Amino acid sequence: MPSPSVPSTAPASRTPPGASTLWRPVVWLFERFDASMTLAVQLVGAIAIVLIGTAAAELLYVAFDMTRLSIFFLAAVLVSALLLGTRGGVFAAFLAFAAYNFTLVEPLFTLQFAGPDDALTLFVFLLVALVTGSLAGRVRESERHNRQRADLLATLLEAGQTFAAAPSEAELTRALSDRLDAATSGVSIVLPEGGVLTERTFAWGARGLMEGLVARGWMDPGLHAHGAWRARRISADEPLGLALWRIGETRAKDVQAQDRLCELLLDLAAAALARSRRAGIEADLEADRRAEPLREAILGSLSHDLRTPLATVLASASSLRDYDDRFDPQTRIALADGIVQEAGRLNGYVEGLLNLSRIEAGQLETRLVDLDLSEIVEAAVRRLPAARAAGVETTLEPSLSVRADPVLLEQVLYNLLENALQHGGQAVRIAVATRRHEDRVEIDVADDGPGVSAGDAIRVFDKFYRGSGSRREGRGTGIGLSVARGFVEAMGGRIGVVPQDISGAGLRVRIALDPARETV
Amino acid sequence: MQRLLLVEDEAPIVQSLTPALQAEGYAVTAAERGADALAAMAMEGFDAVLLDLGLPDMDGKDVIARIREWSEVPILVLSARHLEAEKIAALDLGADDYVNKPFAMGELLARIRAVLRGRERKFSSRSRFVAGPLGIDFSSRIVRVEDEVMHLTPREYDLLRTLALHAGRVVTHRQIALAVWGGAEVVEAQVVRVLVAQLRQKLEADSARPRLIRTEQGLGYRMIEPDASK
Repeated sequence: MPSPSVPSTAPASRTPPGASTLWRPVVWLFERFDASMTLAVQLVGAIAIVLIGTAAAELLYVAFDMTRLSIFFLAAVLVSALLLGTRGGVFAAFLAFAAYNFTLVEPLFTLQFAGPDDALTLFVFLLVALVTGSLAGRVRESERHNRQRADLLATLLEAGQTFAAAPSEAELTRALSDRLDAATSGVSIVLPEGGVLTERTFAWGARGLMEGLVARGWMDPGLHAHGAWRARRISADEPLGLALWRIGETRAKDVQAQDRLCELLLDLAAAALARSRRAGIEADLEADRRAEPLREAILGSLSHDLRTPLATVLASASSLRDYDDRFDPQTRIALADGIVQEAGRLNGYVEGLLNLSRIEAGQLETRLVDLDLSEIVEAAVRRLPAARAAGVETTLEPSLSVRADPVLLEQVLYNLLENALQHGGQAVRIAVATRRHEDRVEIDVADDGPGVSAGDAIRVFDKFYRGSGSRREGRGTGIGLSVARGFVEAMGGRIGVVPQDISGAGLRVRIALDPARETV
Repeated sequence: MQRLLLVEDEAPIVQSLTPALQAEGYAVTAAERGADALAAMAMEGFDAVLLDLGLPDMDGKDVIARIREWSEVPILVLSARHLEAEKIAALDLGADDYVNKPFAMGELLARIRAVLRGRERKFSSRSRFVAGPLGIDFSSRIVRVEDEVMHLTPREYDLLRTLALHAGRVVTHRQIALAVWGGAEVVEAQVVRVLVAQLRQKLEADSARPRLIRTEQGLGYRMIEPDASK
């Protein structure tokens, strides 16, 4: 989008800077003449202007008997040259010469003249008229030329700024297409690298011709022209795409200049595209660099959390096989217990991974029903090992109902409890509290473990994030809380860490869910 | 009774390894953290250390470096297969060998025996090494395969001696480079590979299927254990 300070190509602002208001109509005239100045217009214009000059002179001659009126004819030549250019000026000079001779030089109303004096006067008049006409015409033309050049620069400047400011490649190519349309008064399409024309564009012209031109354009980087059609790769060196355009009504002598303008526009777009692409690549690399620790964390987590239980299972099972007769019964039972426990842990981990991938894939189906919250909390606590469940204190508001999926909610609570047990340390105490708050039901799961820093508070729900510092100890998988968040959000609730008054004083996770419909 | 220090923070793994190790006649002391391991090392002597690299308080590699500052005790690393760089670093820091997690008990016990024997070899004055068809006389530098004397270049001999001294254990590319080239120049892994290929050509019956010097993919090489009685 052009900013207000940037000169645009709209005709309204074409006035050269500094032109006074007085000159506006003349400039306007220039504009109109410029727009469609053919030879015929120039000739007719010159005749008209000279006729006006002649009429004025004749009037003065008849009315006041004035004789030195050659100035009127010269004025007509000057005006013609200024309005119509050199060609009009020279033509007007000859016309004026004839008219002067015809109307004011004896014998009147003939193209003859009386003596050497008159001949000299007429000859000098013609010379002066020609010089005046061509000089004034040249001034006019160079002025027009300068204006065109200023216009061109303004167009290019504006295009360059627009391209550079384009927020995306799509925006940039659209801006390029707009500029090409404006420059050629035609239509254009910008194809991405390797792109093909679509049905929509075939309405603009012969399909075979367009496709042929595009094919040639892809093959060879220069400008390809066929009739009114042009095609060029945006950049000769880089795979940035190709522009195809059809020029609108353009005078034959301007086509070359227009092609050059279009090529300049393409070059500008190429520079901007290449720049934004490089920036994009750098951003990708940067993202890669940032993602690297995450990838390592995920790999490390998978490797550690799958292998550790497996290591126990494999070592215990092979020990039982190889040393069965040398173990006492307690040892055998302890090893078998280890296998059962670690297989369960493995199962939990795989379950978590599956849940996580279901959340990621958006395949989580929730069955929202009205639930008694206390029942769900108690069910989740009961799933903990008995020794650990003793450290959980519940403060449940009676007859509090939520609208949630029972399976998912129980899993969420279990994950939060397990997380508190894993990260809170050996003697951790956990408090679960439920309450009604405004139009929602809140469940807090708080522990008195090491807590998390403000920085970690945002990240605890990240996949495979296991905390830092003292809370990192323990056997967390970095899955439980992200699954909890996925489940809560799937049920339309929210989950977050409640900032503690004293930092490092445990972790408090709050879930907010909709209450049951009956109680509303 | 030989004493093992098991450095592992996962209690279930410790519980699963201990019975079989004890049944094999080892006394097992477990340490949950690197600091505990170093303290235990300072308090009492161990015949070997089994070390998990992922410890809660410090990097397992640092534990190796700290132990190696003053002790030559055999260190066997328990590590995950994909952490190759970790393993190489651990071996270069002075770990004697590694076992990939998860492992069957038999594999771990075989590795423990190999590192313990390696320590015995280090302190023995035996001048002969015999493993299958291969015989090395360190004092005269004569190498025989099936009783035929093989002519080795000085570098080939240095390589063979290094591998034989660590027989049964993995020797990294860098350790070979240090032993053969003396560490004065940077030696590419590729150069080591070429030298190993030359040696195999002379020693192995089928150098495409080596039996004496085995490749530890991405880590280094391992020579088979010497025959027990010779």
